[in-house]
Amino acid sequence: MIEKLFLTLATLALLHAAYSTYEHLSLLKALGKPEGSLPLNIVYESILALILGLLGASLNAPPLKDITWASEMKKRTIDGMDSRLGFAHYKSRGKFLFASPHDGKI
Amino acid sequence: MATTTDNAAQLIFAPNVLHNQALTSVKFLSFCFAGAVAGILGLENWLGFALFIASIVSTSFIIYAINCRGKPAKYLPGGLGELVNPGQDNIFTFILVWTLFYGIIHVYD
Repeated sequence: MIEKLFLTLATLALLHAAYSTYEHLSLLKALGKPEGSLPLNIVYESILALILGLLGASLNAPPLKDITWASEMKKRTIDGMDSRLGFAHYKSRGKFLFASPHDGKI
Repeated sequence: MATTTDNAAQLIFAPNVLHNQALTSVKFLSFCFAGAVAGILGLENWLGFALFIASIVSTSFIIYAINCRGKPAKYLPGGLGELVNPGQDNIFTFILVWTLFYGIIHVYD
């Protein structure tokens, strides 16, 4: 939200500074002394537009993501990435594991 | 899956590297603004390129502080060098916008 605002303000300030410079130069040409220097206001406005533009462009970017595999594995389980399908078998030992305990007899 | 023999490259998760290429658009916008300012202020010759260098420094600093939050190696495989590098085309972008604004404001009658 604020990044779009910064970018818009920066663009508007830039266009305003551009038009102001053009008007100032037209004035100087009309007055017959074309080598005057720019008024400081326009310089400040341009630099402000530049800074706002840089900040807006940077905030506008989506948040960056870590590039290591380790950080990506924090979000997933190993079973989701490598199921070791070649080692899967379908015999179940649940009958023995979850049976109620005997007194030594099977 | 691991088709590269480089051990360090196997530790990198490629889709996130691709996602982080969003920084190129940040740099592009920054150099557009810088070129416009150079044209508006009527900078010529070496002064204009001085503004280009200054905008590289500012953009790198802002990306370092805001986007990478102080740890560029965590988000860019090239680390700090890749952060500062303005990219192949952005100097031409700067010159294009610079000459555009300079021409419209200072030269066009």
